[in-house]
Amino acid sequence: MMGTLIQDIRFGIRMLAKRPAFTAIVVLVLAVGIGANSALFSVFKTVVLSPLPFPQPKQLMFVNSTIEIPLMDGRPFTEHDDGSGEPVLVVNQAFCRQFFPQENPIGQQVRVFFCGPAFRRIVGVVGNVRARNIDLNQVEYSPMMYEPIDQTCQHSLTTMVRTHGDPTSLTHALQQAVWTLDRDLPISQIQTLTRTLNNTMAIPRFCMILLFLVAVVALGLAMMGLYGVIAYAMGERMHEIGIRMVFGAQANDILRLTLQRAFVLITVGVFTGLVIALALGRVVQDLLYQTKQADPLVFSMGVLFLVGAGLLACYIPARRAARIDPMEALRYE
Amino acid sequence: MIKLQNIQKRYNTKAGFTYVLQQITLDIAEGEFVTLMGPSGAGKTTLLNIIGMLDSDWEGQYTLDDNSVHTLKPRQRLALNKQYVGFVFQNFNLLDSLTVYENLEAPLSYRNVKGAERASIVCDTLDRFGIVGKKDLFPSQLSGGQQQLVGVARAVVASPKLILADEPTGNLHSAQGQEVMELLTKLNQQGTTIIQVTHSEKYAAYSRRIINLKDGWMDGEVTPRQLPRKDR
Repeated sequence: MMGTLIQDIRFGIRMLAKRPAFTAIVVLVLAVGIGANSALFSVFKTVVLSPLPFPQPKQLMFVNSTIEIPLMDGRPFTEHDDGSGEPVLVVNQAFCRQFFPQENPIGQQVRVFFCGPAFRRIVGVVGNVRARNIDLNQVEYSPMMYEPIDQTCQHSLTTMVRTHGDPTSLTHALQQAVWTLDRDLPISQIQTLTRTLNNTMAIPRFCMILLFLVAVVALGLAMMGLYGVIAYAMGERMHEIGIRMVFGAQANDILRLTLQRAFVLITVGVFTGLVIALALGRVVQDLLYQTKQADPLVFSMGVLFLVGAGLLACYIPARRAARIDPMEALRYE
Repeated sequence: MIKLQNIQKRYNTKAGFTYVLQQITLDIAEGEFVTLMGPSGAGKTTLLNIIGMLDSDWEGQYTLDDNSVHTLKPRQRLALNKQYVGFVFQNFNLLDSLTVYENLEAPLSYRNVKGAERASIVCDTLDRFGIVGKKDLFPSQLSGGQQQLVGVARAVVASPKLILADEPTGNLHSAQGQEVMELLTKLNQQGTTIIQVTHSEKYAAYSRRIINLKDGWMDGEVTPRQLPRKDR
């Protein structure tokens, strides 16, 4: 059994060396397939296996004391930080790392240009959060400064409200609450954090869907290509199959032989394809979220899927070859 | 050994049935050397393929030893073929990507012969046919005569009781043809039943019975002595 296997493998390699063009096509098809697979499974892994595709998802919200932004040092804003008090700031850890790497930031004076040039004193340090957008590939946080609402000269304000139950049901109540303060205050939009998050992720999600569709098409083409070249190769080997049947090969022998050789071909193709796919992977790296270019899980899934698909593509023509009448097979030239 | 009764093969064409073989009744005993002769299209190769159980689409009764071939399914016929028959072809039909050694090994690998035993049989056969020096060569590196020598060696490597040779000398020049025929004669003397197809009366003369076919019918039987002297 082992001897036959080795003989078949040796023969398979010999056949590949004998037909370099055919081998090159198979390798190319497999490289495309692996590329498509890695893209496909990257998206699969992102969507299914990694529910929130960015680091430290618990720190997603831009939160203050209401929304539980963690205070790391100093103090939060108080009611004394009003228009008559000392101008103060709370900064995040990224800010400290960038501007006060060796010093204690608490008590430091910072010249800011919020409402014209002015000095403000840092009174607190809070944790890093993604406040403005969610760049899924951005691992580093941006330096942030927070100012008390009574000391700001901003003309617009975003207010966050924690609710129990469906937040959309409170839309009308929230409008009324704002207009109770001032009937003329315009409210530009009221939306949930989920909606805000969805809007932020719309472009990355679109890219992912696009990538997924392209990968599915490429995978389909790779499968068809693989089936085509293997079916062609089987057609070319019909005469050989006929000879083998004349000399005693049974249907199972033919099936085993053709699948073993296909496996050799696919293995060579897959490994060569892997190298090409790894090299080309850099091109799509920017579109892969939380998935490295050479992610072992993604590549394993891709390779397994493609080897399975390749063997299936071989099985159909191999089965047909195994059932062929020996005389008919011998007539092939 | 071989008993054919009213063997008939036909193709269904638009013009109706076209008969390739009609009412072939023939007995061949074990150890015989029989030649099938006749013009092209007479049905010689078709009859050889039926006897070799490669062709399963025919009518009539065929008994090989105690096996009623006509009652067997195609797969069972191939299994019987494996047990009894070795083939020699006009165009050699060696596997181009296998060496001489591997070509001889292939029939044994389909007969569940263990590796060591297989190697021993192949080496014996290479020695017997005087082609030990060629064992690592590929068929394309051999002359026509050498290829047919390997073809005959492959046919006998699994010790078949019956060798079917379809124009074994057809692609060989005179000296090579004679060498192959002497080889077949020797195998026959050692007890192997041989049926060959040939156009040449010279090579037919190596056998003991010559069966003529014409248009799918049996057209008499002669012995080599009854052949014209000029071709012998």
